[in-house]
Amino acid sequence: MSRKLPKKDVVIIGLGWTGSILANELTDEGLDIIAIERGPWRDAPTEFPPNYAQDELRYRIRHELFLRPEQTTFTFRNKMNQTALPIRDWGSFMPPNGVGGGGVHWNAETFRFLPSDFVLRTHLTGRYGASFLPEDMTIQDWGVTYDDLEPHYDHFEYLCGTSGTAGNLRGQIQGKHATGVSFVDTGGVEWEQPADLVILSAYTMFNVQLLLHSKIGKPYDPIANAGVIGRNFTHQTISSVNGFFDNKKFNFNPFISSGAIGMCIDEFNGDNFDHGPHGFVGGAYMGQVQTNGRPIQTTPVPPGTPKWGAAWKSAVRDNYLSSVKPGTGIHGSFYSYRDVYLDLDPTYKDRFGRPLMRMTIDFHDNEIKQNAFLTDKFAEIIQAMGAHTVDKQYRKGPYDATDYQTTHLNGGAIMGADPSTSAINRYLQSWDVPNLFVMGASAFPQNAGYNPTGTVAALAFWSASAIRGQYLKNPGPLIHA
Amino acid sequence: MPGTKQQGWQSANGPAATYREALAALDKYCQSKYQGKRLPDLSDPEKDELLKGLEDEKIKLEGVDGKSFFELVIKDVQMGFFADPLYGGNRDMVAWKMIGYPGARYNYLDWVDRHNERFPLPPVSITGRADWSPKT
Repeated sequence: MSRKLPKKDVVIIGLGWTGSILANELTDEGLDIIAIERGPWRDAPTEFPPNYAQDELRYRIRHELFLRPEQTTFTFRNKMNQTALPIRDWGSFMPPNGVGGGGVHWNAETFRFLPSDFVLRTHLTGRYGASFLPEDMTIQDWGVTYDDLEPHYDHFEYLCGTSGTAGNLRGQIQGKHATGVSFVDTGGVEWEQPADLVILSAYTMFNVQLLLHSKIGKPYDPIANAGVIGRNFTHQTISSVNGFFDNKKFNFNPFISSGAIGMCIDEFNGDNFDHGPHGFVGGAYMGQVQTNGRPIQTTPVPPGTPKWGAAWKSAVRDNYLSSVKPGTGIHGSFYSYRDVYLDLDPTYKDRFGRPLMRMTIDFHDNEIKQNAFLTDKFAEIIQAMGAHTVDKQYRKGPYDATDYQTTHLNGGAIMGADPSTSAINRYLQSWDVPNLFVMGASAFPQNAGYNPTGTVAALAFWSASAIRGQYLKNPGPLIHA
Repeated sequence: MPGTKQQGWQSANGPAATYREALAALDKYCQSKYQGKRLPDLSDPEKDELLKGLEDEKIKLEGVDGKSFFELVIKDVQMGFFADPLYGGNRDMVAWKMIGYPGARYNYLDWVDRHNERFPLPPVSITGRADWSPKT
């Protein structure tokens, strides 16, 4: 039997970027709000002091700021006919934990998605014809347009002080009701927090997991291609090209770089180029954006170098200052497919006895082709910079949960115009439970070739604006399907 | 169950138990191959030969996957070599000096626009400088 807390106007589950945005927007309406966060409270001066924030072993390797797999994890498999097993050490992504959420380890690479990204199926079938898309690709329009989101992108970019120079180097410019939430505190005591409005703003997979555990929305069934919770799960198609330069002529001081200082081109993103001759859709920004030169992760050696011993050591010494190892050299889209989805694991449970989230995810030919084309293009740039050796590291299948590929996991509780193919409406409001709004990248019907935070935040402001302008005056469904 | 390569580490053993089992198997192999000599007693060329054999899967250890163990060791040794000396490796920042990494410095604001110039300052660790180490 849980203890019951006094009722609040709003309860927010997860206090990262989107939970904080909603908290700020809704307190401006005078609402009484409580936010529940699983991890620790962190303060900048005590938790991120500049004299040990550089500790690569502690933060990057031992995952100090992240969720611990022994707290909870996910199961993973590539294909529906395999048995999913728990991820026991973070690899392909690193889920956040604590106040600030993923914003705590954010590189601040802040992009806007392209207008065509929001109407992707309409746009691509209009330009190339429906038969150009693979049959099992399940991309959808978002139900919200770039123009809807533009003022909210703007708001977020001003909030963050997003800056940079855009341009061209040469050439021309181109029915139910949620009553609140229950939670277990660190002492193991179960509490109930009643509220009129519930904001679900946890990390992608935890949003989906909480919806499934709460039995809100119909679980997705990939065989029948029916149901919504868990569908259109996506990640990012990442690859890189390391470049090795003559160390007598080049000195890059890689340790000076940081996560959002870099230079990218966008000519090959989304549908910015004609895909007709190439036989794939989607794209990437590509560029030299390298998070630091921390030496455990950033001591590249030319292909063919032994992995240890004297020859390895001298290659490390000779190349550290004169090589580039773009963190996300090719930052590509990952479109949605019928057999890439989230559901509850039939075997493995968390410490509360609830099924773990099961990820079924693999690369499809479209993304592999896209990545081969883009990696070759990026290699041409690295070569033209003067590299004597270029090491192309194509993304290949199967999807490998041990290899870091950004923490940009998306979908599973997607937005849309049709309740039979989306979990939430264009205002991020649950179709099934109108006093529940679901924030975050779990709303993305498929992923574009950009970092998600700008769009995640714009959607949060867009949703907050609908809650403030419409919902609070007349609580109920904002869209009648 | 073991799972696929893509599913990652699934052993019931943690790192310590993995090391203990593999080192015992390696010791046993050494004694049979090198006339009763134990691993630390091997000459440097013999040690290299042993490591190469594990890497190339030419050496089979009893009950242990030699290649996986080799990869774990390489990863951990290089991690210790490049991590802050706080953790006991990289003594006097020998690895950082070798590559030209300045360590746990506050920031490089004055250096962002100084392209193609070698950063002149020696590395610092979270716990201090190399010349603070006691001379033994």
